[in-house]
Amino acid sequence: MTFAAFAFYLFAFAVVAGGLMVVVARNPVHSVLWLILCFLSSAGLFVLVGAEFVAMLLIIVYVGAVAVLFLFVVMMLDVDFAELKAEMANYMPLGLVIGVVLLMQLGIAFGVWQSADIAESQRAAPVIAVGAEDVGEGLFSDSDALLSQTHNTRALGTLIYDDYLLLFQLAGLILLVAMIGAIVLTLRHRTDIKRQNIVAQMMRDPAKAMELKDVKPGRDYDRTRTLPHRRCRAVRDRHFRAVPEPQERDRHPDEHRIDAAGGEHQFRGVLGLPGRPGRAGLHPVRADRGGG
Amino acid sequence: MDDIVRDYLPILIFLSLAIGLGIVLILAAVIVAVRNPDPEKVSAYECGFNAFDDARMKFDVRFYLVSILFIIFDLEIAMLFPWAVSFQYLGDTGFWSMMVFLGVLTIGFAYEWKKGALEWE
Repeated sequence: MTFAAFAFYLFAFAVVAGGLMVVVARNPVHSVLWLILCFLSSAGLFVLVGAEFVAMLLIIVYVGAVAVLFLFVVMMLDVDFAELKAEMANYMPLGLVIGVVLLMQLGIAFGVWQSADIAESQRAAPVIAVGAEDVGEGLFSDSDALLSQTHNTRALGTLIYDDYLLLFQLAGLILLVAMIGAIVLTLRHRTDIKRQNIVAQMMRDPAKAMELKDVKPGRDYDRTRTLPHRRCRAVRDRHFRAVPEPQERDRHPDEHRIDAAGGEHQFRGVLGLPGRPGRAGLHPVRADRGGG
Repeated sequence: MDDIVRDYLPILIFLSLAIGLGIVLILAAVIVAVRNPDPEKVSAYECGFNAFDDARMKFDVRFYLVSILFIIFDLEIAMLFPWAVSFQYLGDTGFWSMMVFLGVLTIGFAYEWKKGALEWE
């Protein structure tokens, strides 16, 4: 057995076994993981056939992106296993009937299967002769010499953007529709949260943000406490100031974890400039100019 | 076929190493590690209090939106690969068709930027 044959049987077995496990696996998340094995093995099969670009596409797009999407869908479905099993018993007869019909159809198709004479020569990925001298003469060639000369990706490139221009542009439009559709269907803006306005932040004038106030000693202090000395220094006696307690510390941070945005922490300490005691006369000024 | 083996030898070595290492690690954990589970060890641990809920919960559709937008630009990049590889052999038509394709997707990009779909709130 040559190496290529060994690799083919390995990948083919992995695809079939993985596909079976996708259906059989109880946990939908495990199904998705088996599906990823399927994608990877199919990529190996494509490499063996010579379609390298499709193989890499399978890995980049399907394993990298579509599998993640499937995982999200599975997570979003809110699967209840007990309920699922109960429903499966209901649909079992119908599913069995459909399965038997499909099996019979496959059997019939397999019985009358015939391959054309030219199919044998065209089973490899279509390769066109591309050289410096024969640009644009996109002719399918099944000769082995050209097959080894031209890369599959280059052959695809010369075909897609020229000969199949309309289909290519249609693909672009479909992607645009998908993008806009996804945004229109799912995007909704929350109004009850704080947003960061970066432009306003950048355009803020530092001279207006800080204000120097001449505070009379002992005026703004908490009157219930007695001051040790009339002319106290702000830093040394800062524990006499009214220090605002941090709000909402008693809530567990995971309480709103179901809602992704709601669970996000507000960076109070960074953005809000809480009125901690700092230098004596230096107060950060808020939007309402109330001072810290 | 020898060409394929020669071209993909590094990937093959990497693949066999990855699979072998994975199997060795799992087997080593099964064979070597001490395991005596009890209900308290196996149960979910959530910051010291009893777990409220199952880990499989519905979550925000926003993740899905980000993922879809990622796939679309992933495909755009994938379309660029054959174009770049065969760039030398493409005429003006090939060049400008890609520019139109990119332009169409840039319209979508501007739309989603203006709509604030890329902002995480």
